[in-house]
Amino acid sequence: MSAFLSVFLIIHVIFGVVGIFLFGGVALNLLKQKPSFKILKWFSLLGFLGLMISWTISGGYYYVTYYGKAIKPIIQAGATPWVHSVIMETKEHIFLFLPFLAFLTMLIIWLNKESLIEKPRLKNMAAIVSFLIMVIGIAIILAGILISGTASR
Amino acid sequence: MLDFEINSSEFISGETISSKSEGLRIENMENDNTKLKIIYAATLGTIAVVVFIVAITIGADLYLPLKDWLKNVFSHHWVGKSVLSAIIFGVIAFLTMIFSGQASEEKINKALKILIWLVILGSPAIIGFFIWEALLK
Repeated sequence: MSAFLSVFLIIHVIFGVVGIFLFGGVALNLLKQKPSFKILKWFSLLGFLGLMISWTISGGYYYVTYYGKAIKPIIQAGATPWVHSVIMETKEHIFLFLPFLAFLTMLIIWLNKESLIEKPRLKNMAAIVSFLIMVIGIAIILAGILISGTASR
Repeated sequence: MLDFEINSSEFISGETISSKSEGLRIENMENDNTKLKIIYAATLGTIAVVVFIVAITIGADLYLPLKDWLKNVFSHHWVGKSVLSAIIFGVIAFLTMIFSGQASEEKINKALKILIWLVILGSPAIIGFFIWEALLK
């Protein structure tokens, strides 16, 4: 792998992980009776941007230009081809939910700001969506570790 | 006479304040409705995207000409799914902004509930499909 692609892969991982855990922070903050809207606004914005970078310019580029040609054949020829056919296939498709869920959560927070406290049901719904981003995101991180581990064995 | 003048001026300024605050109240309500409408539009857009991703993921693997079409048009099937998802989100959100009437918190909460269930059911549907395709088919 070229140094350029290695950097893209590192950016993909870092921005993805940071984005997911920022939404974990959003979920926990929204569950508070008096959440900090400064934290909510910045966590949701940076989390969304992190997921966008992980999706498009880093992960997408790496996946389309390198994974299919170099990594997929290694995994398919190994002892555990299901790591590609089940884990990678699931990871690359379920990931597509996350940027849209993140954008929606960010909109709910930025458009309501402090008045979200007066809308407890909407606040709770936003917390559940953020929690789903975190749970799906952690599953995707674990899938990524499994895929990388299988390819480098 | 002096009393009357004072009362009259209080009345006039009171009326002005009241109509100003009424104007502000209506403006705030309109602002709030626009904000709720944007959130409602984004929620419906996200619902459409989640349904689309589940459908195209399973559909393109079951019907290979669809996967080939995605590859031919977008260079890679995954790029096609990504681009089409973004387009669907934009179109549905835009149409909702234009054609939906008043948005309310209740409407948004209902739509969010549907979205949450679709994500909860859609994720195992995708992994279940790939398990079936790779190991059980």
